[in-house]
Amino acid sequence: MKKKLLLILMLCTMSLVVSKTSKAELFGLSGYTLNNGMRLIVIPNHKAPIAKHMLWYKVGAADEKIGKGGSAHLLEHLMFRGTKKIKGQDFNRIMEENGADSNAFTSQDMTVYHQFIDISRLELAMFLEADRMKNLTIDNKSFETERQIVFQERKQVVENNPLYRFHEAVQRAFWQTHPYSRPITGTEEEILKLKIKDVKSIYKKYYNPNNAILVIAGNIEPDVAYKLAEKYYGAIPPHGKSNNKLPAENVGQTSISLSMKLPDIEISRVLRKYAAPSYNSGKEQIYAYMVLSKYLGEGETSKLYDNLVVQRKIATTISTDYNYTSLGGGSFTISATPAKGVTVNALLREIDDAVTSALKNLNNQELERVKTQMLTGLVYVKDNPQDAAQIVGMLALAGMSDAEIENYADNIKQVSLADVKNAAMMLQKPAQVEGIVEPEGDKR
Amino acid sequence: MSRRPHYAQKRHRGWLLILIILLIVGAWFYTRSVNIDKIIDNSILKGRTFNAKVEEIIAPNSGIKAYFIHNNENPIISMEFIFADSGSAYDADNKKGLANLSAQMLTEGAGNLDDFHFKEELEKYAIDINYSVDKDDFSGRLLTIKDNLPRAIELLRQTLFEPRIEYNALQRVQQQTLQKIARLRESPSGRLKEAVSGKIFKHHGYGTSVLGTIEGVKSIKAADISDFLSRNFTKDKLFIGIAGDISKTEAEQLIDKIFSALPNERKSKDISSPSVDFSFRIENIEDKAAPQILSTIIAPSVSRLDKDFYPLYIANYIFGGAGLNSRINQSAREKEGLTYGAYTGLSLLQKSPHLVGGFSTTPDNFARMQEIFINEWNIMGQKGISNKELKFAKNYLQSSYNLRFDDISSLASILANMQRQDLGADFLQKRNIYIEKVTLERVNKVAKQYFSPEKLVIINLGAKLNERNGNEQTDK
Repeated sequence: MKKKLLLILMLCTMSLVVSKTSKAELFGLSGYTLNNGMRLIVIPNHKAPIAKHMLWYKVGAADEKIGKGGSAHLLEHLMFRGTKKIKGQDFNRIMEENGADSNAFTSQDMTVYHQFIDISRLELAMFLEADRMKNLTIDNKSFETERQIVFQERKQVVENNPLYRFHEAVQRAFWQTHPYSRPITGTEEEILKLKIKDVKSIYKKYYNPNNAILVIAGNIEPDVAYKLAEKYYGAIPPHGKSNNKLPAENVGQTSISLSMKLPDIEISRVLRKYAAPSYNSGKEQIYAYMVLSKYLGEGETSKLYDNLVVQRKIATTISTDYNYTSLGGGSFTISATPAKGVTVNALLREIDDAVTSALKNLNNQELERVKTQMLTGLVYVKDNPQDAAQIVGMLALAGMSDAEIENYADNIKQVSLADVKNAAMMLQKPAQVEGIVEPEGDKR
Repeated sequence: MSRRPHYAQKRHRGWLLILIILLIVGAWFYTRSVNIDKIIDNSILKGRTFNAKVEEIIAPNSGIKAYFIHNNENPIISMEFIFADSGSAYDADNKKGLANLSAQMLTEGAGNLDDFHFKEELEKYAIDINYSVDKDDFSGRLLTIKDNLPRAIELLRQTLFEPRIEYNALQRVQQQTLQKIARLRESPSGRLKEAVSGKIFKHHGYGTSVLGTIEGVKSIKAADISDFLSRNFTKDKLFIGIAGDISKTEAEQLIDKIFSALPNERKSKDISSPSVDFSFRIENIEDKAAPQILSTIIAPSVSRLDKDFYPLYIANYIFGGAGLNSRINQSAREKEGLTYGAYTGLSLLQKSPHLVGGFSTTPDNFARMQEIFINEWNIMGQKGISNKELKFAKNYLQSSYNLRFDDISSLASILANMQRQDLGADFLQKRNIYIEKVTLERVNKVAKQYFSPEKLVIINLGAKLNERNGNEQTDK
């Protein structure tokens, strides 16, 4: 469906795909700053005459006022409902008629509009996207209709999915009073009470070129992309200010056990979620955490998977996920599913033991093995212009410079054994959230 | 006296004002409509085309044919191969889940490497090998960097000819599969999907999910998998697509190295086509846990090579395939805000092509949503589409065509499927011509036949549907 929310940040791709390549640059990107302050990143890819055009605004659900949950997401929907020049639903019609795969998503830190499009129509997408950066109109009828649609969206995407309800509860427990604790869609009550002025105020304050990053990946030369970006976006004067968020200070001081029994859950799951540095809160540390995550729980040769799933059959799945792109601070999550006949508490104890034993066995040889896995095949990340634009945009929004994005391989190579062991200290304290979700009754 | 000229003048100025406004509005309309075309016509990016040429290649020793595209944008190579008619629908009644479990087990150790060391080898060389099944076919995919191609070829060959299928790994994969089956039932959409397959296809192989049944999965032994592989992996059912930084000669040799030892012909039996009752009805499934009412719709359709395929494809696009611009989304979502989205699409099951669609909405909107759907369905059948809509559909289908060539694996997949569907090596050049040739008359003739009020099944799942929806059949 159109306009999906980006609910889970997805950078694990980075470590799934993996290089022995001596070329230090990950994407071969070119970066520019337009005269009005807008950042532009171009990733050439000449395989086919197509391009991904993504405009990333540095504003998301975390920037909403208390009680106005869902206004950033509702604004995202209304951006498809007409401007002074392109009336009503003409944006959608024109994009469709020109073969575009056009959509948008909202997360805590960002609102992103994107078109995957034949290169012959890229200029058209740039024209339309620039137009709605400054000329949006919102009438009562569209507002009422879109508010109903996002209400249905929350019902369909969140309420229809019990696991989603569990993850929202985990977010609340983990982030406490931080805005990230609130659902991206807003609650149902909030959605139904939103007013036009709530979405307009976000548009006015944050939808400006100096608060946006444009990423173009595809069959285009960097200097041509730069010229076109100046042509279409360059005329929009900067206003407001760039939304550079500070990392949260008080996250990581609680330790909460959360247990839910839900009627439609068939299979129990457990997770432990730890506060960890993100690029915005501790840029020098993130590569060690990436290596730690890969070593412990990414893929079927990782230590926790081998121990608990393959060797001892205590779990049927286990994985780690390190989120380092969130502006408010990062998180490190271990998630697992118990095997039949294993209780959730027994599995949690076994995870502790497996983590301890994996860390004890971590030596330089293991470190090199893991780093090789992370660096072999990095060339795959730039094969698909859509994936490349998505990853680069996410990293740029997290605050990374072009050089930082390109130097991924060097940064991984420089991680030492001591760095990873330091990062792993996090796991020796209780997790900020230990979450359990189980079937209601005795289905298990 | 002074008032007349004044009036006259005023009136005159009034006309002038109206004229000026008309001119401005006209100019605005003119520039607006021109702007869009002008931007495309004047774009400095126009004229860039997809030049990759599809070649049919023939392996020198085995004579196996494949479709091939050379592309050296990146030093990587992808291959997709399909063993046709080996999907889950072909599982025996007491072994439902065998095709899928076989696919999973092929990468659980091969040759002299056990499951762990096999996967470690793949990671070390950044080689991706994976197998999957759908209801019709069994398929495999390879992605490798150019430098590691020889190792990739050997590992892939071992998965096909020397899979280990060891007890421990099998037991683990079975447990994982059983949990996946259970997870399907955790969401209302999963429960609806399961129910719809059963109701439409009944005991036919299409009636069960590719994962199989709990009893079926539990009953599968290593010998069943070996038997599956020897029965299904044959040259006569093999279709291959190769794309990437590899020469034609190397690609031909690669095919021999991997596949030449396969037996020529398949011995196992074909399956029959399911007999599906598409006669108009609404069926309700009671589901207390569902916060919305979810609906699936099913209707007859045509196979890929049928003469009606493109006209029906376009009719479906206008009705429910054009995202927010489709008729059904325009009426239900964009005008009335009843749903987050509704869609329809053509399912190309080999033995039972059909049109499938769906929507979901809260109980208070449900009656109206269903009414709109049926109403739009009947309008499509009775009146068909307009010339403007036909042009819109053609514009989209043609100008979006290149988007499918986004990565090397997609290219390999398109090639394998072109061969599998018998579309011909020149399909990529001809496809937009096929679209262009579709006439309004053909679309509307086909729409009348397939958007028929008599051939439409609606299956709803939700709470208290009986009370809401009156007299339809309901399952408890």
